[in-house]
Amino acid sequence: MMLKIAYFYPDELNLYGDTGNVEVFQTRASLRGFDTEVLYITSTTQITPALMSGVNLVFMGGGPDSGQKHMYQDLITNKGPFLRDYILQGGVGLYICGSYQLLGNYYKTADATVIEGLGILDFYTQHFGQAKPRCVGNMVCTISPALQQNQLFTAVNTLGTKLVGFENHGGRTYLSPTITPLALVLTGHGNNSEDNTEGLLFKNTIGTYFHGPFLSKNAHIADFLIAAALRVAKLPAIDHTLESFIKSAHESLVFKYS
Amino acid sequence: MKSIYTLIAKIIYFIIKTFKLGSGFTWPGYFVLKLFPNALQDIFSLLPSNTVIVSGTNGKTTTTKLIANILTEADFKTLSNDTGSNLLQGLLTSILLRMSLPGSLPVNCAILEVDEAVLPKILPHINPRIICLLNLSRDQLDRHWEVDLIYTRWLESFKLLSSDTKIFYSSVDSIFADLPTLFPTQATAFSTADINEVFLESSTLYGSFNLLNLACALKVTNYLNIAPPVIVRSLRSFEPAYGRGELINYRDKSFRIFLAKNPASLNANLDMLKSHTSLCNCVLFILNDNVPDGHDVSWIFDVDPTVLRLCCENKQVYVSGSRALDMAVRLCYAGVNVLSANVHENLEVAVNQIVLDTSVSNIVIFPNYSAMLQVRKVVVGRSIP
Repeated sequence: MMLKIAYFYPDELNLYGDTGNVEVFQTRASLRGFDTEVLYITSTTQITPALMSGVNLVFMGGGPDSGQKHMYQDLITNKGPFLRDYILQGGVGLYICGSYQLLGNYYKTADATVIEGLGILDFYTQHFGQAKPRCVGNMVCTISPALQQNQLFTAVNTLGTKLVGFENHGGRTYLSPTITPLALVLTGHGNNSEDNTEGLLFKNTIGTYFHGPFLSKNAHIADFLIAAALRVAKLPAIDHTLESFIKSAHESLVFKYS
Repeated sequence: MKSIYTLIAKIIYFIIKTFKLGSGFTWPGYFVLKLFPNALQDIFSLLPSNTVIVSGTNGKTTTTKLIANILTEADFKTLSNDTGSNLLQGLLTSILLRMSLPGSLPVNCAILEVDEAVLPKILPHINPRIICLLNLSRDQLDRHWEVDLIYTRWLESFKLLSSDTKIFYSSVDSIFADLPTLFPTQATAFSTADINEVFLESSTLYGSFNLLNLACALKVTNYLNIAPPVIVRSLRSFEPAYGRGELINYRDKSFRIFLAKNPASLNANLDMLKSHTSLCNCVLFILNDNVPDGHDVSWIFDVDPTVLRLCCENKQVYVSGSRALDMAVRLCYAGVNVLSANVHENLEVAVNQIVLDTSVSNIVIFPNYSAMLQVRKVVVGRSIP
């Protein structure tokens, strides 16, 4: 069985160790004996059905303003249609920070310019400029009931009900009531620092403000996405010191920051 | 007024030293500025016409030391912030402590390393002869947010410079590409290709990243017409700046400390270790998330996993610091063999175990910033020189 990862915009959208998530997917799959392949999709890549055939996992990171300006038009014009179909048909993917924001309807900047999003999912993001502080810091969340009760997640979950990591964003995201958040904030800001939600969960799509190598500390989410991508009901345990370090790191960070 | 500033600064410094109140090096500058908000202008105005400012993300301390040593060798009376205190208060302290009691500054050149975020704040008050720009890359993103933002602020502040000020920049870093267009009479590039063979052979520094620091130092000293034999003499006797390749013997083992505080510096250090694999048989990674480090340690995944694995192959690997577990996870994902028994958040415990480990003799330490100060405290006895 092959985990085929399409990594979108690795040059522009890799602000702070976001690439680590792809490393986590690859390592956790290969330690279990699955083959892996990474397809790098850049702003010059032509998306064709032949190229994307067999892709069962999509990853997109977050970028600095300059990086996002660079890939924005290509995303909307050339990659958008593929991502729309992929996400709506239940394709498995993780979208971090800037790329999470772009899945929504729009991003309103501090000077009220409206940047169109892909409009795949019903939410928007707004930057309030000086009026509201930037959301920066360690964050701890409780995984939303919808995911906690998900059968596949329950089958692969070895870490419990918390998420931990770092967020650093100026935009604040507001989900429509029809969209399920990924988690509920215990400490930190999450989507907007107001309604307690963090990220989103739609079919097999996860969007989140946990930036950088989010999955390195949250192996349960990594395993959920891997299992969903491979369409297996459970995953063999990984017999490696790595697992005990992950468990200790996850628990100690949850303890330290909540 | 200037004599009052320097008197206050010296008294505070004396108190800190006498009562061993931490390193406290920034306090004199801090208090003088608190008491006399106008002191900033007064103190900076004392800087000599030969003032060189070194800024960038990585290499500031080594480059500053290279330039300062060469100029001292050339008989200049040199002022330099060689403790690496490169924020506003630290810069002021360096100057205040060198001032005489009547309030003059008895030096004829100043080489100052300046933090990349502080640079645009001090340029309105200083008229340097040369500004050196080494590089600009991701570092402490929770403090600086984005690299482009810093660079934009730099450009704004460069517009205030006198037309005589030279801007020397690294040709390797593409972010500086627009400098010759924006400042055509002031900006010139330096690169490792400019380094004369004689100087190259005289240099004792490890790592290809240090070649660029050397190229920058030579660009400055050539511009100031320093005679080549003086430069050669200085380079031959050069000792690495503290924590930047510094060699320390501690309890019958040799420890070499290479500050690795962001992706660029860790990658550069790993490249160095890959080409000098016999440099050590043990690697100690120390990762903290204190204020001077930035609270976000995400960047440890911006390091090539293959290089990481190759560097640690056939070596004992130890991990320490407040985020030791994050580092252990990162190393394992890269395929490095990390034993649970070699991971200790407490640094003294880790160093003690290394000292007792009979299988290791030469240790390379990769600490981030506050970790570097801590490990020096353990193996040297003090965090800064």
